[in-house]
Amino acid sequence: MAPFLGRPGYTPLPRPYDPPRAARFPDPPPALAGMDHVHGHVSPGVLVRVAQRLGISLATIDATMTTDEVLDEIDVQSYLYDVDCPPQTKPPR
Amino acid sequence: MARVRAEDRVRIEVQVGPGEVEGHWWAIEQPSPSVSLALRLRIGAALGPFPDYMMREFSRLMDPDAEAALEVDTKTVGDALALQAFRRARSGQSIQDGDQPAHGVSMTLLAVARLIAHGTGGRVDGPLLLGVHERNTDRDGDSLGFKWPGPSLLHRLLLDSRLRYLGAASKPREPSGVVGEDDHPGHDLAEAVARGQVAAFVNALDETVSGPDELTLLVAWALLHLWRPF
Repeated sequence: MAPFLGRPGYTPLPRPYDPPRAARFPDPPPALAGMDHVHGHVSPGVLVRVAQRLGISLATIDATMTTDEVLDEIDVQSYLYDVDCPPQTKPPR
Repeated sequence: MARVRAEDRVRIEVQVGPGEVEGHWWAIEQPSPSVSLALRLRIGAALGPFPDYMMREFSRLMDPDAEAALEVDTKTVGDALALQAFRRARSGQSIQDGDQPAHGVSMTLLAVARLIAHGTGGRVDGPLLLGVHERNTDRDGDSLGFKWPGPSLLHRLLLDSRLRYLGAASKPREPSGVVGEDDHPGHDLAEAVARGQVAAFVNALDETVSGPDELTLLVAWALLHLWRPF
């Protein structure tokens, strides 16, 4: 199920040869809403990433940003990650 | 800088009696980002192909004869219409063009729903999405034929979207919000939203809508807002 199918979002580069994350992701803080992981679409804690990149608090995000601005920020981060960290082109030895 | 209030208004034509049709004005706002993301996750998990069904209901009520035409049109230009609606929304415009006929509005909503539903599968988790309803034996004339012992995800969506009833006059009218001094028909709903009281909101909503069809349309509209990029 893709919650954001209605929005023409950024598609990250495929990374078939990148080593997968070995450890499990931690559960998000239960008191904070909107942190959950949607498999294949949104990584866990995206709101925290947005807050970190913009240097603002989570409360400021809710007070000053619209949802599409947050989604734009998530797209920007995915794009920059693809620019800065090119995918592995060969399987690891 | 305060968050831009992304708001939309619609006028829903509902049958309130034999041969009697009324236009009801409603307004909703986009929830805050953290609530939007949480609602998308939970509703998305329970949704399956539900938006398509609701948009069809919308279409059927708005223009019963348009169903066949919609079927053809959405096959040929569906995605283009949906993307056009997204662009309108993104530039701060209402999804409903002022000059757009009712048929056009339903076609847009249906196109958006199909784009959303495309690629989705699974089945609807009814109890999670809609709550468990029970028969309403009050028969007081104002309530629906059923009621919810507890609020559902979709009630929560409507509450977090700050749903407001703006009356049935030719132009929308906001409730004043003054406790005890407002005879506006949407006063109880506005007060429940202002206080964030889910149970009061569900009761007020049941007494404000004309029937299950209008409630379905409101949910479809709010879902569209939740999914579309404002």
